[in-house]
Amino acid sequence: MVALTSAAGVISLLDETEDELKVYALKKLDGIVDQFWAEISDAVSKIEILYEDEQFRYRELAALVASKVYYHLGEFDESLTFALGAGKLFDLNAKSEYVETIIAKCIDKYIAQRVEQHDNTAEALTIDRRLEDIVQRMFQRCYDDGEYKQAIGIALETNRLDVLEETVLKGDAQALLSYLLDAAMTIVQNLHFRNEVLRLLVKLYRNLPEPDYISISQCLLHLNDPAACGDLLQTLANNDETHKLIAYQIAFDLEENATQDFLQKVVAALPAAAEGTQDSMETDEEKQPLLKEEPLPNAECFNKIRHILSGELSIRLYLEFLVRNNHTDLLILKNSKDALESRNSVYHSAITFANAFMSAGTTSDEFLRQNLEWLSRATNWTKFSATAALGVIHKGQLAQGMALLAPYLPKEGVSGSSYSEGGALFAMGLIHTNHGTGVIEYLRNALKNTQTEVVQHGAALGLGVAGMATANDEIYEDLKNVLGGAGLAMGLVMLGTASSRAIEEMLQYAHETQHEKIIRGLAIGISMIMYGREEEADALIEQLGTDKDPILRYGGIYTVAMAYSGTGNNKAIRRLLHVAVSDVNDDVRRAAVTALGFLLFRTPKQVPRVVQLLSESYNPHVRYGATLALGISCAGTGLKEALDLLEPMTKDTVDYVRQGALIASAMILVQQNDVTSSKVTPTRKQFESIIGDKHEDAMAKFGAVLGQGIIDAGGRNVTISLQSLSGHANMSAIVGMAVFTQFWYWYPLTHFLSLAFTPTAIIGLNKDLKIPKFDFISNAKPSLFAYPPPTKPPTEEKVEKVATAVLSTTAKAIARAKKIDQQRRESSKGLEAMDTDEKEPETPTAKEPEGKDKEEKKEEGQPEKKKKKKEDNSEVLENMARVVPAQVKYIKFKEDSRYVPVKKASVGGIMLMQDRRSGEQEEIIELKDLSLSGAATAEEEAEPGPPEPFEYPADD
Amino acid sequence: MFEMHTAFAVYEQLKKEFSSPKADLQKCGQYLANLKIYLTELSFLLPGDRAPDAQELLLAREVLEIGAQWSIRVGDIPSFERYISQLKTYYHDYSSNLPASARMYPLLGLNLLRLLAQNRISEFHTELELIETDQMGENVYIRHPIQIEQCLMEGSYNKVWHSRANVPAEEYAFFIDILMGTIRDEIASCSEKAYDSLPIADAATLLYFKSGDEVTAFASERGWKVNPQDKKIYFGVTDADHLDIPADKVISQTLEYARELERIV
Repeated sequence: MVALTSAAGVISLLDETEDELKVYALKKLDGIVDQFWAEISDAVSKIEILYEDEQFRYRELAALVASKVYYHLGEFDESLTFALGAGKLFDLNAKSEYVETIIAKCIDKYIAQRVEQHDNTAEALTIDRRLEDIVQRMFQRCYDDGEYKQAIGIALETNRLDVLEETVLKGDAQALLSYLLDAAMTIVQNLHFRNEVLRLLVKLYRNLPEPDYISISQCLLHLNDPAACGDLLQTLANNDETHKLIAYQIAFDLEENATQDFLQKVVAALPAAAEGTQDSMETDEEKQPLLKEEPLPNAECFNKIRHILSGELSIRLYLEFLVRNNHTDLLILKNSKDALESRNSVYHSAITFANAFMSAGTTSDEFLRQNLEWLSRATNWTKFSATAALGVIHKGQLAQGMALLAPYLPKEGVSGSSYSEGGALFAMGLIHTNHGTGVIEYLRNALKNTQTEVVQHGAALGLGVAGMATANDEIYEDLKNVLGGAGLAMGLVMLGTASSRAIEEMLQYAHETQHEKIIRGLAIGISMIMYGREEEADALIEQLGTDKDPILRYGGIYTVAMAYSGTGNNKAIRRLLHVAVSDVNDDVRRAAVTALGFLLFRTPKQVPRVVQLLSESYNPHVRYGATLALGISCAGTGLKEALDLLEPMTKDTVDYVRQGALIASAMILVQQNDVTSSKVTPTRKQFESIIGDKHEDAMAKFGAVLGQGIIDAGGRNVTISLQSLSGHANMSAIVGMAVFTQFWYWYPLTHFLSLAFTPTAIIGLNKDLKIPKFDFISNAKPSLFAYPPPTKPPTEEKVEKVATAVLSTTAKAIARAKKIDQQRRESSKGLEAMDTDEKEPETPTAKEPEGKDKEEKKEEGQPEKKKKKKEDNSEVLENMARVVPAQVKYIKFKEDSRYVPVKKASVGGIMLMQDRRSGEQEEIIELKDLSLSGAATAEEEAEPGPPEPFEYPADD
Repeated sequence: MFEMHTAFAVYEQLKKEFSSPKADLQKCGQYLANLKIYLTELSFLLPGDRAPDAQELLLAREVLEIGAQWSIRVGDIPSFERYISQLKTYYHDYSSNLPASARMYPLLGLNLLRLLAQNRISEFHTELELIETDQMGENVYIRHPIQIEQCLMEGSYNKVWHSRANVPAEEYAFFIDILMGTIRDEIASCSEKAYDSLPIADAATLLYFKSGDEVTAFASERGWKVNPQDKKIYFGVTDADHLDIPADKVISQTLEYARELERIV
């Protein structure tokens, strides 16, 4: 074969006068263009002229050659234009890089045009027919190749609902629909179009041979269509047992993900409940037959659904889980407490928060009771925080909230400390987070009946937390009337409503008032109102962003964070990045960087890359923002890249950057152990050493203590996650996190982080909504997801060392020394000594008996002994076991197990289980401390026992 | 093989016509056009699916060579250029398949000369690279354009002028004439820069014109002013474009930088 060295000869033919020669040249060029494009590019204008010549019969060929030349030149737009001109000659099926590239460009352009068309419907924008033709052929190719997912992707981006439907019908509908749902939620950025897709999904799901009701309910939830949800539940409830189970499952899922407002509407859409049913449900289901009215055929079922939707059941179940599996390691906290001067209010607050986080939802106030004296040193706002901490610890103990807090709540005629009263009101709110039905009235009265600002603060916060997203105008008005510190609470109540009236009023007041704190509260409140509204918030964001008051700009940034949380919207990210480097106010810049974390929490892997440069900024506020952005978005993931970025910042020269880095590290490492992340031990060590270091700044120590609380949050049984297991944005978590970041200005807001704690459990329920006993398998090494070992009281060896240093070497002396130490400590607790800690075995043993599952004990006790033995590759877990997010994918149900989940797609959280041997006797796990929420109150009173000693003396 | 036969027949006609002393050039052009179309049916320039047939290649080369010569005769330089670039495929790429052509070096030499005439010096050197080194010194067809190029570079336009007398082939004269035009332009543009004015007589010598009239004609072509009184040519002063300092732009840019610097992360 002769190798050509130049295409000049062929090219020269283009100048011939005869068409035949030109055609011949084009044909030849088409063949050699990949090799000689450089030479041909000089003559491309001639080829273009040929293409433009209407008379020339082979125009399309000319276009193809020109297209290829431009492709090689990297002029893809030109190339695309000519490829379109080439018509059928442009062969989509050719597997060349050229074709692939041009198709990609083609689709990109089509997408851009479709989006433009979609955006300004007013101007009818026409799209090149040829372009559409190619895309259509592309779809055809996808179908032929069985690449349905690809087709879905293109169809989504090009807003082609018709194609979506066609594709789903052609392929494996079940799999494609879930793919589509996932894609629609994560990729589609246009809210309007997403809703269209969701509506289509609902339709398609319904048309399946086995309609996927759970997915339908998810779509309806996204569509914010409670009426349809109600209908769905109704249809299911009127069906057989299996469908009823599905209805329960849907109810749980809705409860987990929907707002209170939505749930109330769903309940309203259900068949009217007979009078008083609601109440009777809570106390005793047996009362039902007493109803006067003829009950509906499925009244019981509806009552259950209503009960589930009220949220009380899931709160109760999770509470049960947290109490049962509590693994709080109080020794850590104790060490920290001893190391820090408790008279310093910052340190005192820090320990308070750490304790609240560690014991969040576990109802264990052991630490407080062990350290009453320490507790009594709290003053003013520290006292407020300390009291409010009770709310975090007892979060979810709906029925007992009032009794627990009674000693601190404001009482008629008795004037207690306003700080503890306010704190208690806040605590009431926290206990009833997002489920305020029972407590809102009380809090409203409390708010009205006081003139004390501190109490107002507490009541307002409590109302905000409990009445979150209720869109309740009355609460809003009440709050408006006190206004002082209520901006935030107003925002919480109107969360996600985009109420223009509220925004207007709040903005106006923000402009009128001179008080920085009030403006800040209002600014954050405004941002809350726009939660999840995406594009709708753009005008407001723009308005706030250009305000001359930096606090309002700060609010504008949070509005971006809230409105676009979890969307990863490019435009919003660009805006944030721009503000992060261009605003003149440090607070605003810090907020802008922090907000990135909210936008990107669905794609944590991206975040380290995005904030890397920012984390090296000269501006410490920007660096601080970067730490929080990492912490927020990568929370609970243990992501190594994020930790690598944070590490240098834990040694930053600026104290608050260190603080942020420590907090963020803890958020990322929550529920991780040594096996899953090598950073766990070093980070814990670092916390300790920072706390113990006399020369360390208070800010950093605060961060380290908080970190200790966060890393072991909720008795080591919760993760921090801004999205629920099913992938929904977890509203209260996002909001809680956003308010938490305001602790910069006011420490009591730190408690809001507890809203982001999500229990990681698998709780299976049977058709009576009881918890049957069953096992399931985790196909992973037990150590991979084990609890971290509890801190050991200083070992023998250590004791010896101390002893040698202090006293003689004999064992007796050691013993004596110990004894003396012990006595001394008992007599004067203020003794400042890390080294007096030897005697500590009581703490771990004290919590040992707390309903631990067998295998947990095994893990705890045996690792050392068993080390030589090979570890099992799987473990058997019981119902109500902890299953951390990373573990979910290993969870399997045995083929022959009696109970199988109704929901096939995913496991985790509360799951309705189908009983395959329904006739047999069921073994039920009784709710352990039913006493707390049920009838037997006597025992309950003995347990948490509102202890007099730590009621604050009035003279304090 | 039908095309092959027809092509051969036409080729024979062309050859006869072209080599006759009073060739009908128009007719030859016709033949050539037809032949080229026939050739596209065969493996012309680029081998298609099948291996090229030596006979076909030979035929194609012959046709193109005649075409090139014909172009010179009719004075169609673009056409010549095309033929040459097509021929190069045969001269270089197919050299192993074909016997060497007697007309190769004359044509290549002509091509070189053409490039010189068109003042495309860089391409001239590119082409030269493709010619074997031993041919450069020995081959009279190649040596000639090389010498001319050297003269041009030295500025010995005189020698170029005289080289017209000893061209290796008559076609060369055609390009030498064009070359003189090129040289004249070169000299003219230098003169414009070098002198404000020049007496017409001197200009004639400088530009290799025989008479003053030719100079005036040339002058008007280039837009020079000729003053018949003092018999001088005045070159227009063209240094009009001052370099403005874009003050506004620079200022705003600097300010922008300053602001950006302030914002740098």
